[in-house]
Amino acid sequence: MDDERNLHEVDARVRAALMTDAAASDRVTARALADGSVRAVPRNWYAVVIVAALIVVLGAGVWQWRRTTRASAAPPSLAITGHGSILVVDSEDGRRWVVGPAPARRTGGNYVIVIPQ
Amino acid sequence: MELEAVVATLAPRLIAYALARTGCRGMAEDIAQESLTALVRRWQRAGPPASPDGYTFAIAKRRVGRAIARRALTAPLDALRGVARDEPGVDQAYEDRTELASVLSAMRALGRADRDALLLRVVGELSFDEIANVTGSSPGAVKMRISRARRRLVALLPEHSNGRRTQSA
Repeated sequence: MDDERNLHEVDARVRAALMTDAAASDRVTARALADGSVRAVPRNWYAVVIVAALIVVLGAGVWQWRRTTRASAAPPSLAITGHGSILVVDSEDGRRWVVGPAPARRTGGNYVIVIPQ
Repeated sequence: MELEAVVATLAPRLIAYALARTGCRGMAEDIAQESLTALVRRWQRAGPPASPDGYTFAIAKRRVGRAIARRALTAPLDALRGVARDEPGVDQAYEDRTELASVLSAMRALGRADRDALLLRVVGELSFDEIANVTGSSPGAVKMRISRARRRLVALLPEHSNGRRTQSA
């Protein structure tokens, strides 16, 4: 009988020693209810965001790659020099164009006399 | 029963349980809050669990285990950084509470399974079946563990300061 009472008293002692003050309980209750009510972001959303980020990165990579390949396929550069009213355009591959002003009047009927020296 | 009422009823019991397991009131409040948050989310998503008490204490039990393991891992670092001074095994703030200190000390002398079963019964106020679910054992084993833990505690706990009980061992 005395033993039984001791056992129950142990329960009471443990409860009393671990008793929580009401303020702490109220605080924990309020926070749990507030945190639990906030809609957690579904895991699917994380997957969607990750896939979208991958697509953006991939797109940027492809765009950058195409830009560089297009630049490398550009025509050879041209060197333009001027001699008076005449422009001389030299291409890297050796071709040359000479551009001059249009003649002021038609020169039909003219001829050239070539004198050997 | 309303969710708010269930949460309010569970909060002090969860804090007491986690306090007995961790010896730290701050950690106990965090564990209780996280466990209750899990219950609230579950309740709102899929309705109340069959046993809200058992559900929440099962979460609290797992979180206590993780918190103790984490503390054991970070204790050397905390000691180096000087953090541990603020939060020793039993809170410095409660060191003067000799009754709490002696109860926690006696609890630590019990076997882990016995201590858990006793705490879930005495502090958590769970039924034998619920304790059996939470601890993964049979109700018969739970009864035996609780009985053994009680007898052990009677022997371990020093005489009560106000002399209500004389030491029996």
